[in-house]
Amino acid sequence: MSDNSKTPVKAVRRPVSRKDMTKLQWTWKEIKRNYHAYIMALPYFLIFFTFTVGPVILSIYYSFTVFNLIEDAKFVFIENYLRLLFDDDIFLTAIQNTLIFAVITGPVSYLLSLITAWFINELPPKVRAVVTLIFYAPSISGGVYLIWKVAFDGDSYGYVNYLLLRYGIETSPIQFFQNEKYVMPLCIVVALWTSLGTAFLAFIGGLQTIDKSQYEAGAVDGVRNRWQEFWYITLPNMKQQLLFGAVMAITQSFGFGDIVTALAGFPSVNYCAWTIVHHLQDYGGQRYEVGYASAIATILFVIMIGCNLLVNKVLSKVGQ
Amino acid sequence: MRKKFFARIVAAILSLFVLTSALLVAIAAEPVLTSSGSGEEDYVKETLEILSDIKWAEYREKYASAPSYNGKPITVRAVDYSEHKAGSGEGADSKFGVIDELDGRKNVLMTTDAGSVTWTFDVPESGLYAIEFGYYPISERATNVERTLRINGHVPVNEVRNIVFPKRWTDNYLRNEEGKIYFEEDGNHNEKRPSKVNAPEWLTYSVCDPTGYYSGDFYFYLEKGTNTITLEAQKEALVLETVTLRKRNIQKTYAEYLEECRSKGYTAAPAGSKIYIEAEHYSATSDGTLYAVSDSTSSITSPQHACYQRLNTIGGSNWSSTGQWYEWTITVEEGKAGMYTINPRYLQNAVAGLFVSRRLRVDGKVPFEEANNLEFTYDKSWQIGPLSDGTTEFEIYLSEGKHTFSLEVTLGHFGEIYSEVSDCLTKINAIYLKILQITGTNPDSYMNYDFYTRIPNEIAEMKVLSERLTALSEEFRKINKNKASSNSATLLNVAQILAKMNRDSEGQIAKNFTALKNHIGTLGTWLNNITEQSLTIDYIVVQPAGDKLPKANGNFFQEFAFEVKAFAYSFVYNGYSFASSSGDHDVVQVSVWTTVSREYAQIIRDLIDEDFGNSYPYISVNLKLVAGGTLLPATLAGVGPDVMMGEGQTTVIDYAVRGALLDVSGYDGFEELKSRFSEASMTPLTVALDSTNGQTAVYGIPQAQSFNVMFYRKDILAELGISIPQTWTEFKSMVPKLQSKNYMVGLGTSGAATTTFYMFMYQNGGSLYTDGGRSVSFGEDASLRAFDQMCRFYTQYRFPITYDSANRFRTGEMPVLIADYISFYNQFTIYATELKGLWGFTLLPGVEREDGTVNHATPSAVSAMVLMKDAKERGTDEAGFCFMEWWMRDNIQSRYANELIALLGPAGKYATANVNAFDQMSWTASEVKELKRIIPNLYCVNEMPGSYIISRYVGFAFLAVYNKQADPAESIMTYINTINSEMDRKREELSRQFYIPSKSSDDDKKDA
Repeated sequence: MSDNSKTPVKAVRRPVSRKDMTKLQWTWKEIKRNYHAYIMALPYFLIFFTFTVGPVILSIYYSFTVFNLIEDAKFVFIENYLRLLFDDDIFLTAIQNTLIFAVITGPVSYLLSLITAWFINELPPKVRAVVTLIFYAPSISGGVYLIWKVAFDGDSYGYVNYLLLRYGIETSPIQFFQNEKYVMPLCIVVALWTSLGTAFLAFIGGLQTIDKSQYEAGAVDGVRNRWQEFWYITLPNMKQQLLFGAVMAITQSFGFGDIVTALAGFPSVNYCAWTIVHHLQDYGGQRYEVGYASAIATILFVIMIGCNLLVNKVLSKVGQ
Repeated sequence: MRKKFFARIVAAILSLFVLTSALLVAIAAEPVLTSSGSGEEDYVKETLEILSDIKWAEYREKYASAPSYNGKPITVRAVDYSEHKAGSGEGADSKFGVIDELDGRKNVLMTTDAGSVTWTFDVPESGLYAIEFGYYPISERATNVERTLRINGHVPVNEVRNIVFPKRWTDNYLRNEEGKIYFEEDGNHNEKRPSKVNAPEWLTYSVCDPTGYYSGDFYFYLEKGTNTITLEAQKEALVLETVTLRKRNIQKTYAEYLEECRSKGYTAAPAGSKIYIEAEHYSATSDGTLYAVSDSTSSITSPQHACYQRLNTIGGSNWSSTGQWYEWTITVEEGKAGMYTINPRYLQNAVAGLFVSRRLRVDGKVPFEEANNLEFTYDKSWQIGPLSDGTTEFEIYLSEGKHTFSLEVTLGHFGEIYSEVSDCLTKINAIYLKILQITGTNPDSYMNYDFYTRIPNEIAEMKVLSERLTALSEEFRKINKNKASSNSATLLNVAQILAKMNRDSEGQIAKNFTALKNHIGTLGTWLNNITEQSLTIDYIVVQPAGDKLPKANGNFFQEFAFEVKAFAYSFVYNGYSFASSSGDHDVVQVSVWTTVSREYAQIIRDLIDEDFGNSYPYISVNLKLVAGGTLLPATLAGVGPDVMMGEGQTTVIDYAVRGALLDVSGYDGFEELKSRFSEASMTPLTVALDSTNGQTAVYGIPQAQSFNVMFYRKDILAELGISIPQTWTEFKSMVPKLQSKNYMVGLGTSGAATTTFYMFMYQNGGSLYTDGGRSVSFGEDASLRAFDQMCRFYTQYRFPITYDSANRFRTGEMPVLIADYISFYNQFTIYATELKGLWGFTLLPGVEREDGTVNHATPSAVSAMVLMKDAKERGTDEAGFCFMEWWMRDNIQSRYANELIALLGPAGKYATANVNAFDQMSWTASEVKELKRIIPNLYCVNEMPGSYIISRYVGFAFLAVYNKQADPAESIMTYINTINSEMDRKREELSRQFYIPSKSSDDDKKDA
């Protein structure tokens, strides 16, 4: 609560003395004075608490239990975590794959979004709208990545296989999504292809809100090239969008499980593209081990928060 | 690079070696093959005979100049048959023989759904005769009565292989005091369809085209002297009274009809004499599947309601196959006789750019030639107008009193074109297969295949076919009043590609091979779609020509108000709960949840309303349609149902082991209930609660059971002279024969690897678990041998692991295929109608035991109905069990299955777990025979806690072998520990322990 109270203080900026009361009393007073703001925030807050904060807390609680959704939960303290971290080889594979995914698709798609947005921003407005749509389309049209499944189908009549067979490059169809050699690279390519999403739109928006006079001022102050302009003017102006984009990119790169499932099946052959999200679905859905799945979720949660803090740190260096 | 090249050479040499050795095996196994059963040779003979049949078009051509018989009809009573051969099928509830009296006729002949009957005729002069039967369709089932007609022992034309004797069905309408028909409403105020009954009467049937391509009766050339006519049973029992040879009927034209009416002094009916009849108040139909349906697209469809379902129309996609008719009865009042027009309000928005056709019969007779081809043109909205053939609007004379008239689906003028296209398609397919045998599926366009010397006849035929198709497309356009449409273009495309292949065979055949395949598919689909003649009728107005007709469509305000009302209702109306109509409080309420689609749920509801109360008047069933995955949260919240339908076997055990289900074995009547199912289907639902004393529990009642069978293309196997393999040894000797002709075999995709593995494992006498279900048996000899056997097919014979089975089976690339019997059967029946009769299914090949018998163990899976634990607390568990018992009764299951066929057409076959219900379902006698052969061989794996992990690792092991050429035994054995430790872990986690019952079939087979 104390965090919330600071905002109205700043917003009102009225010189009120608070020497003669405790912090709590002061907060309460402020709340009473600004009660309409709280009432307006209430519906959202209730929904947010019930459907987001509540489940997160509940899931942290369940991560210390054995729970199968049908029988009552049994408290087992940190057994789930011990097993997860020290006795689950597949979880290690999942972490490894998730990190590979995150490290490759996260930054690459982030940079790709930024650079594409930067380039597109240079186009005349009408062309820009069309090109934006073209780049954004794969991520709005939900299951469109399935065309990759058709193209790389293991049937001898799949597009790629057909061509390979027809020109005699291969003698029997390659099982692209059932062969460990190909699954991971293909999934990464598809993930990248679909990743120009919300972040990309935010970047374009951010680029367009930058005050043109700043560039003129920069030119006068001796900006030597576009790169300097980009680094010292454009990026610092877009910090909010950059942060948003980074958070989106990270969340996305951790959540590519669905694409992998659609392309390579559940599970992918020999767990070669098994991610934390898959592990979570496996235990939560198929094995009725919700306690264990909650532990996985908690760890994923911690990793994500860690990543976001890291990103915040990195972004604070922008423009310096 | 160099290494890869070397590897390829080695691979090539090895594969050559394998191929030659396989051929050697084939040659060595030859004598075994020929000695295998005479039944197999029968099928080859029969298939070859089918392939050599001539079509009606050719037959007609051949006897174009033969004289028509013009004398009196020659009738033989059915009971005076000269020969009867009993078949091997079981005539469901009827026996062959003479019936003294049936519905007013004496001394008639009952024939069953198997065997054949022959009559001998003394024909006075050589000529063309039509054949007519006096019959009584006695069977109660929704299926057609089908027979094969033979003249002097031969099937004269291909079309009469399956002649269809129409049945007659009526509805049990409810009538109010004034005698008006009304429909009963259910608890949701939706109108319910009245039940349908077979209303047989004595009818006559003249042999005609069952496919409906040709209108009019068939006629056959008979030499002077003794001739025989044979009816060979295909489906259903039939009572026959007479068999008649008669002269051909020549129909008068409409002009002659009018002339005749005029000469008799008939004039137009007095103005204002209007007869109005709701189409849904028909008096009879040809099929049990023709129902009143509900239309909510138009506000003025009568009757109509913005929210509740009103049965206000007939037809739609249900009424689209040739031969289906509705019949209406009207009464012409005194003094109002005269010439009338018949004006249906109809909707034909299915066949864009074309018309659909109907045949009009008045009082059972087609009044004039043109009435065979009534046209209903395409429009997005409703239309109303007199029956016409596109140019003339017909008037019909109706005298005072009762009249019946019927509309029957025909293909009209397009029929003959479709027939020819279908014929072309068969021929093109044959050519395709010939090329396939030379080039394989991926021809190299730069290779010299020497087509000119290898398939000269086929190349010549391409030209003929191309010209024929061009001519057909021209004719098609002409009939369709020169309206250009994509339909004629489809024909032209194929014609062009054939012409191209003919002109420059060496250069073009290989190049266009895939395109040809695609075009064959397109043409087949085109033919399927276009022969769909769906039409919806709301009401029919019979009135004198010139009187004003009602409007066909509502005006803007009517439609608007209707839509607004419907929208408003959507907030208050709950269509997902199928509440029972009885709101009595003394009864026990049982809530039943199902996840099937809405239409299915409606059928279940209807059956409950109709029949359940008869057995259990004190139980009221509350059926609810829920989304999949609702059960778990509902159970957690304690608001779950009493009975859940259609849960997979894995889920059942998952729930049971966590204490969410009740053991059903203790309820009254369980033993009797159990006997309705195959032994295998109980296996996955039965567990031992203790590893030693053998106390068992059963957590559910099997509902549906699916299993794999071997599908085969009769025509291709017959042409290659291959008999159907009974054992894997025979199977292996068949494979090289097929592969040398570039055919492939579908043993199962990689997704089905576990099922395929289990098949081999059980056939080798193995079982999945050891140690009472604590660990898997993959280390044992039988399992290792089985896995090795399976992998060999994919590695040595290069069976594909990813393929589209229906497509490849249709083109013939994959003439032998192992697939799920029900889903593949359903899909293929409607997908490839042109192949009707040219494919079949049979028992899987098996492994020979030491005593010479063959183990055909066939893996299967069940879905089940379960009784939830909460029911016990509510005290509704016994009532729930009663519902389960009732639902799995023979007659309810067969009725449900038949209703599904009615709803979905031939693709609606349902895989009931009740083995007695097969008899009453719409399988042919020979299919039922096959199914009954298969059922004793069925086999289900037990589900144990943690067993989900098994198929996962079997899949991994298989793909490792396939992709990385790993050693099969080694790769499956690597996973034994992982699987076992997962199962151990699961046992530790759970408080309840399940084991494999010691007397389960799993162990029985092992002993055998």
